[in-house]
Amino acid sequence: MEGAEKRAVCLLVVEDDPETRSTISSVVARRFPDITVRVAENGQVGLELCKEFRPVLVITDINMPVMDGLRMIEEIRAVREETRFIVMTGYSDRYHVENSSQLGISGFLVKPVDLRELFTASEKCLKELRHPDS
Amino acid sequence: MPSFQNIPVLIVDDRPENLVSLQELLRDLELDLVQAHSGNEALRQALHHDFALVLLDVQMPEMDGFETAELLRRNPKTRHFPIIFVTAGLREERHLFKGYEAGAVDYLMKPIEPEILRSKVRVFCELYRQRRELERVSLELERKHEELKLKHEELAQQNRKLQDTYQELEEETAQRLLAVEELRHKDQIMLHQGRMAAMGEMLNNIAHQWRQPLNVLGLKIQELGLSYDLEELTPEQLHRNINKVMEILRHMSQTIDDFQNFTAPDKEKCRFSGKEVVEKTLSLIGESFRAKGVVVSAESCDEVTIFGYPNEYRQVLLNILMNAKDALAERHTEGARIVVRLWREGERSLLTVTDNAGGIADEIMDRVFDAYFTTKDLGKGTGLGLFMSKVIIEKNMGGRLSVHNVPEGAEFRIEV
Repeated sequence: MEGAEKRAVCLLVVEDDPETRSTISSVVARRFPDITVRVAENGQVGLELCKEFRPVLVITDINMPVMDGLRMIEEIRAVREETRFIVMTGYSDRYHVENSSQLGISGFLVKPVDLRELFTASEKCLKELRHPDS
Repeated sequence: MPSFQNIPVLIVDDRPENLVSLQELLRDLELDLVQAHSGNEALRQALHHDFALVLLDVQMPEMDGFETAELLRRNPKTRHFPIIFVTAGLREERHLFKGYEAGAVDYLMKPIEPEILRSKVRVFCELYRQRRELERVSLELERKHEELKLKHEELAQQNRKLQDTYQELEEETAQRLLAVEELRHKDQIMLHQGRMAAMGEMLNNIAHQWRQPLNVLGLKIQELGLSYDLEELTPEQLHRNINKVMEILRHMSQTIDDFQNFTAPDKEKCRFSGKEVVEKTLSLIGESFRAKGVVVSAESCDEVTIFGYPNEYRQVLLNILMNAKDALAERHTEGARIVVRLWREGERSLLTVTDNAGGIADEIMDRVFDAYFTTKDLGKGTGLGLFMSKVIIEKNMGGRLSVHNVPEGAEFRIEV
């Protein structure tokens, strides 16, 4: 079962605020019931979980202790190119993050996060993964 | 008896023996007797002396006494000479003289009686003497007058100078007052700028403080909607979310209160808890510092009561923490840490803020508290924070604010 669990499609939520982290992972899990949702509280843990569970999509915050979101994305990209990223940022971080667009981020969500936008962006990523040529 | 020494008197007679006789008669008066043997000679002599008296023989050949006298009277230089005609006494002769308007005229009858002669001569000599005396006094007065005028002019000049100097002083004073006023104005502007800068920092803090709570509020409310759409909404979830939202709103409201308290100027000194200030301030900036990767902690903070201005003390602490945070960010310090300690030493409270940003360079250590001194790029730092902090702690609260390097970084020390 463990192997099957590992092979199941995985989605990772990386967010240092506990309340936000639990709410987002909860609504995402209910929206995409076939996907396993995992959580990490900072970039470092996020990177480790990526290596272990190979999520297809990572929804992440930017400002986090230990390792911030952008660095985590860089590190994950180095290991696994296909991973899709959706970034949740505060207004003041937006320009900073958008300028690092060479990282190939699939979606930018400005806080407070609108769940409809989150779902739309996530669906788009998952669709691309299922049908990479379309 | 007054001396008639050397008073010039002219005696005119064509007969030498008469002249000798006159000389004898007047010897004891010690006059400066000038003799003339004719009218012409008399006129010549008259031009060389200022005679007190002219004893003029009437009966002379060529030009008689009257004619000579008339000529004397015609010349402005000699007009005023008193004349005594020595005459044989013919009354008709007197009418021949036409010079009465100017000067004295008197007569001596021949044969001359010595006392009468001497008496008349004395009178005119006395007049002469007095006239000369008057002249002398008059000249002296004039001289004195000139002197006084000069002195007066000098005084007037000095007075003018004094007036000018006084005016200059007045202007200078006015300028000085203006300068002082300007300085006071500048001081106020600086104070204001300092406050504005502090407020700017606080606004940034609020932004950070509210970012997550706002996000969570949004999620909680959307979560309810989602659950309802999926027909999974339970009363427990509803109330749980409601409670969560209220809790967050209270927290956000608290931030506003803290902010307002922070910027309100203290009216008077009071006792306040140092530990509380530390905790409050740390909670205010905790979020934004964490976001920058800086860990702030309070260690060994005793219950210390401080007597001073709490809000201003808070401002100073905040300012120092901000400085430390900026230094850490600038130097990209790994494992950035700031430690705040508070304890009591005798009568005083001691608070230290220690960072591990590597310390302050020796060259600038002395200038760290100077107004307008900053190591930040143009537009980034106002250079007012530490200066104002020093003013607040040292001038307003009678304490001491200092900094020194410790092995890992810099340590600011507040003593009140």
